[in-house]
Amino acid sequence: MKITFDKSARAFVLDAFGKTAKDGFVVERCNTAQKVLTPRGEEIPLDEFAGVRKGSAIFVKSDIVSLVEAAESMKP
Amino acid sequence: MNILEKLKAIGLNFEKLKTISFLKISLNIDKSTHIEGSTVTINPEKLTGRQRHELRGIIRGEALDSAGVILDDDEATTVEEVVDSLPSIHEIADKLKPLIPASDVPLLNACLYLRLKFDRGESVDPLKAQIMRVYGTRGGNFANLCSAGYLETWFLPLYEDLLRANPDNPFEAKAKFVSLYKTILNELPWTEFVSAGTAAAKVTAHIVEKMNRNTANGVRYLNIHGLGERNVVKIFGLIPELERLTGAEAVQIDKDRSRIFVRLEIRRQIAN
Repeated sequence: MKITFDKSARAFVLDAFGKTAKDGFVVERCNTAQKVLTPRGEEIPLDEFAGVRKGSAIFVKSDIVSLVEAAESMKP
Repeated sequence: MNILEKLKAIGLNFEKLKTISFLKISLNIDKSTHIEGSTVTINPEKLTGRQRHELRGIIRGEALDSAGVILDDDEATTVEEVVDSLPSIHEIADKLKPLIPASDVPLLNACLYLRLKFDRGESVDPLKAQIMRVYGTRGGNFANLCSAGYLETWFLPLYEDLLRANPDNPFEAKAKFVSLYKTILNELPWTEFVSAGTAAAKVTAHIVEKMNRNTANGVRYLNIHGLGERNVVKIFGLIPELERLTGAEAVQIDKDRSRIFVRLEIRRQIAN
């Protein structure tokens, strides 16, 4: 099964995982001073938020390194 | 309870639906749901507050669990292309993964994907820039080495050599491999990838410096790679000067209009 969202629903998807956007970055909804990080410790600009992958909800950036990791998480 | 049953349970009207193969979340439909075959689009804004709350839970739970990833539409095509390429990527990655630091495995996979596109003649500059944003210069070096085939022609044979040299101590072989791997990736001591935008004088100075350092370290060669028509002309034209300044000989020159490979080598002196 495949699940996608478009930009109009980005805030809803972030909200589903307890996140929101502030000052152009993905942050924790309950503590907006705390930026959400990728497993490599990178902050996630909102316009580079590409989705969420399984494994304690890992947030995916839109660079090719992260997208290849996302592809490996994808189930047929 | 699968996703379809979960969605039905929160009151979404999917009675005729047997299965969902594709779930889209979008505010850009004018009703709460739209069904087309086994593709379902849900507009959370058109749901009741309770349904919206339940849907968040489904997305966080069963949906992510069963799909593995929830993606922005704009990136879904790329990810699907990568999924199709995974068997080819894994063919070589599986051999190198146990040998390199775990933090470099995503770099390895991304570079192998880049190489597949490069081999198809597609533009890879944006992908390489993305890799370099994550891994810096060494990421760019890895991409260059990978695209030039060095994973198979250098790294894996190097490990085999180290295993042969340390037959009773594979841990030692791996430790030596990792040390060499890190040096190669950080410094590219035996290879020069000439950027199209670099001036000829700068290229010459850099190659001479590298060749001299290699010679001092007992390495008698340097491989030079270049892409692009003007780059090919530039590098080919530099060969006589490089031979004169380094004392090395261009023992191999492979070139066509768009790419060039030159191997500079210092011949061994035959003792009298």
